[in-house]
Amino acid sequence: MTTFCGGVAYHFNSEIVWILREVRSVGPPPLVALQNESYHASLLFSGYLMRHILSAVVQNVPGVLAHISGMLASRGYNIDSLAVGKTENPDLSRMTFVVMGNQRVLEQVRKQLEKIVTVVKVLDVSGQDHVERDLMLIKVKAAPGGKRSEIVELADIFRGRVVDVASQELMIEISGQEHKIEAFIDLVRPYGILELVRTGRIAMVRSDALTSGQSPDPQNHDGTISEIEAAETK
Amino acid sequence: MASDTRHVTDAQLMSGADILVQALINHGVKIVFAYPGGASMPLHQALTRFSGQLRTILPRHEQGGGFAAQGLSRSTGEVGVCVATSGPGATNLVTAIADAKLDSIPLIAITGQVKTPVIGSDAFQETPIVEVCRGITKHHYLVTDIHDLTRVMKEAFHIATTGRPGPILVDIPKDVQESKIIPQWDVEMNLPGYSVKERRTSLAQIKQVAAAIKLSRRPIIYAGGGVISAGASQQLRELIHKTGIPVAMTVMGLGAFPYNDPLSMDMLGMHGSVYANYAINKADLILALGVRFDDRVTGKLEEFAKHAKIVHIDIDPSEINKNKAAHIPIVSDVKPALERLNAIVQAPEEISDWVEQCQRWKADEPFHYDTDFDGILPQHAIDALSRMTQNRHTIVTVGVGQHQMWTAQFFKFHSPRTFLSSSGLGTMGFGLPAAMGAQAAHPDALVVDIDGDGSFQMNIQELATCYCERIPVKVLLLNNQHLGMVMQWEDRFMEGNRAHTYLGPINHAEAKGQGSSAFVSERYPDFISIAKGFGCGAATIHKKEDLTPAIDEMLSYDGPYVLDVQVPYQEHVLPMIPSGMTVEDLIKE
Repeated sequence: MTTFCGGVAYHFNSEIVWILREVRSVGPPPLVALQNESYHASLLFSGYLMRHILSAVVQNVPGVLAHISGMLASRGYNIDSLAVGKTENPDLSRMTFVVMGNQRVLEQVRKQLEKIVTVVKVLDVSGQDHVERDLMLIKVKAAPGGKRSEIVELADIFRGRVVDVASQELMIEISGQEHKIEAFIDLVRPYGILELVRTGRIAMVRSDALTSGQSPDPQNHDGTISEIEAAETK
Repeated sequence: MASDTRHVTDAQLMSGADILVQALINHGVKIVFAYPGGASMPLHQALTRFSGQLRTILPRHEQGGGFAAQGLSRSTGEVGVCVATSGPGATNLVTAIADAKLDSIPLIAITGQVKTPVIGSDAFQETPIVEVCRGITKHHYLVTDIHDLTRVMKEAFHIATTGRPGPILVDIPKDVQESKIIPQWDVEMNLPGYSVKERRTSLAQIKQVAAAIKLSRRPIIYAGGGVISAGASQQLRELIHKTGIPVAMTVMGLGAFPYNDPLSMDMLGMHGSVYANYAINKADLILALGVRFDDRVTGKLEEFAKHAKIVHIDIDPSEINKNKAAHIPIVSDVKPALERLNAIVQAPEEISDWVEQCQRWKADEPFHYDTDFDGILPQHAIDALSRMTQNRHTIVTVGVGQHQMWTAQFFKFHSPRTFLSSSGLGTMGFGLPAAMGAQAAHPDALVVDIDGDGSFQMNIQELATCYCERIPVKVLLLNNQHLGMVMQWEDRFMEGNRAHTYLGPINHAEAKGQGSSAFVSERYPDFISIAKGFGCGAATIHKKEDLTPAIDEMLSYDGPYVLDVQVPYQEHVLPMIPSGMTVEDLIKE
């Protein structure tokens, strides 16, 4: 807790996120504490920006993407990336958001998402052990010869794949966590990047982590009741 | 319902328009406010076929229809229904829809749409109204398949009325209205993302609240519209009687607790009572019931109720911790939460000093106005009307501005759903059509629109509806010839520079703020002629002694009536906590 209250880096740090979630899971203090200082309040309204990955299961109906992106825009939430696709159930799609904000903003984003009638469920993926991936297609200037083999070698190291070859350029497909993608971009930049396209982040919780923390009932994601109850049962 | 089975067993083909109207009837709708146009004509034809079961009132502007539907809903708690055609008809509803969203009013707005094959082609009178309204509805539908219609209507009523109520838009292309099927009435809703099973408020939480109340020394209840929409007025009264805790109300909460109880601290917030704002500022425990810590209540958030622990009970989880962090957050309809609380709650151990203090504040600095003024002050007119109508079932509507706040301050409300105000959106022009809707739903009640001349002119055309549909709404027009609230801010914060807040001809001295007397020299427009032109009764007064007889005459008039009260324009709504400031900055004079 003291770590959190002290000055911590602005950018993403999974450890900080974990600390925060632990503090949050304690819930509001018991009445005795109420008489003193409200750390719950200070926690919620503190200014630390964090990056969270939210995953929303939505009904596969027209307009749902417009509704959600409109809500996020009109409330001024800062969305780093957004990825949408079908799921194993044809009636449902999954949207993955990367949201920047302090704890209060994140809580609001989640609740406002849950309020949308066509949103079935929202999970805070980054609060749990998860796998996340970006996919990138990148076209690099690569004249035949030494340069080209260097680039292919780099792609190999990054477990990327050459998916198209032209006389003067290569198209490489690469997936992985954001920092890996960024690192690859930095490395090939000197060769000349002709075109680059990236998907938004997608993420999935590891199976063993599924039971921890998250309530399966989307309507119960008020960040309050379950926490109080959790605190009470301890 | 019997009518369901009849249609199924008759195996009759029904048009989409007929299905829609039948669905309204099946859901208990008795009155719709509907303005026709090209894309909604089939719907209106259907409305004539069901006219025995469903009254259709033709407003004179779609916005009027939207607010009338709200007036019906706000005064009854039932769903209000308005209908408009595509394009401009639909966009004219937008303000009323946004208004219903901000005040959590169950409203179903039905719009005609161009035929499905031409949607997206910029057809005549085409607007993507669902796109326009996404952010201002609780939910919305564009029905492109007639087979979806019964399910959509079932869902629309369900969503509008459950959880935190709100407006639903149903957009129906003309070809869907015209095509025919055998409707399936017994359909399942398809709402996997919308669950309203009653939230289980744990007993432990309720015990926490009860313990907090018992230990508190300076508790106060902050009650809002959620108490009224939950129908929890009785439970609130019970809680107060059991605990002796004073209560302050928001604009939306007025009527939840009777004004004449000594524990009523009346309205809080920007133009709330001095005593309510003092009390909330000094409180050590705030029971926030069905409220959202709106900026017009809190002023500067960080300073609001700084020393208090907050119990926040609201049905909408997103309101919890949105503006103000709650120490004991409870996501629940206010009614069941209060029922459970009332079962175990005990009075605080030691609050007699506090209650005395609150009552001293109340006695020391009540809402007041200059009773010696030679003429009629707007506050006086409201006060008089309030006194003269206390023994009748009276519903009051207002526009937005000074008169709205004065009504909130000086009209004595004792029952929920008797004060209808566009509170969140603050829409001028709300008063008259809302009164029309309330009166249509309560033919035997006295319905008075206390309005300002600015607001009144924004939907003045509805006088025609009132006359033609025999809706005997009374209008108490507090006519100061200015946009009073903006003028007040000009006076307070902009050195009195008049910036388009005078409503008369621009060559008048008052247009530049250079008027020389309490009343403007030449009045405009002639509301008497206007009202009479619409077929309404009307009178204008400016002498103090005329006030009571003139109100009497208005109240006994058989039909809609406009009483134009000439009031001075120098009055300010006080007390006032300027926007974004604190109780320390409260202006009393």
